[in-house]
Amino acid sequence: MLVFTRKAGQSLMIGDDVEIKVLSIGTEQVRVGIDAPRKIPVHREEVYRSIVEQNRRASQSQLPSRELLRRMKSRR
Amino acid sequence: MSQTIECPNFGAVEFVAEDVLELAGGMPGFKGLNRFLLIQGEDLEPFKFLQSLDQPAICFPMIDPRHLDAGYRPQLNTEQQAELELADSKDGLVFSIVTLTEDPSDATANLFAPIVVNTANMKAAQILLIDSGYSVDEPLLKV
Repeated sequence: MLVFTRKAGQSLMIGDDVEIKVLSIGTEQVRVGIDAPRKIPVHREEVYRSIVEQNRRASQSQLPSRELLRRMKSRR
Repeated sequence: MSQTIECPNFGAVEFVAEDVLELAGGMPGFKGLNRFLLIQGEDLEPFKFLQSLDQPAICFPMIDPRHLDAGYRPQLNTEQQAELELADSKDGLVFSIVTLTEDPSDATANLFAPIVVNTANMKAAQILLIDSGYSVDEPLLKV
C-alpha cells in the first residue's frame, strides 16, 4: 500500500481526474473530500463490504422451502 | 438458436441470446459474472432467480420488493440511468435479492442494493441506494 502524510487542505491525485482531499483533521476523525467523475462509484468501505457479504450469502441460498412459500402466501 | 445451461437448482435450462441479461458492471463480490438469466422456477412464486451463465453454481433468489414495501420506488441517479439506457427510473424492472437459509423466519431481502433491469435492452445493474435508509437484510416475514 502506498502511504502518504498529508495536512488538512492537501490532496492526492489518482490518475488525471480523481482528487482525494483531506478537508479537516479532528482527534478521532478526518474529513475527506473526493472529486471523481460520476461514472466512478465512491462508497464507504463498510457499506460496499456489506453488499459483498450479503451477495455472497444470497448466492448460497437454498430454494425457497414449502414452508416459506406457504407463509409468504398467507401474508397477502 | 437456443443454448442450454446445466444449473444445480433447475437442471437443464434452455435459452436464446435475447434472454440474456447483461450486468456490465457485475455485482459486488461477483465482478467477473456479467451474463445472467432471469428464471421463474416452477411453483416458486413469488420468487424469481438470477442465474449466472458464466458460473452455473451461482444463482440468486429474488423477489419483487413491493412484497415488503408497497411504496418502494428506487431513484436512480443520471449515471445509473445512463448505464442502463433508461429514460426514467420508473421504467426499470426492480428486484431485491433474497437470502434463504433453512429457517424460513431468517429469510431476508436486500432493499438497499436492488437489481434494476431495462427489459427493452436487457441491461441490468445492482444499484446501491446510498442514504435511502433501506437495509441489506430486511426480514421477509415480519413478525
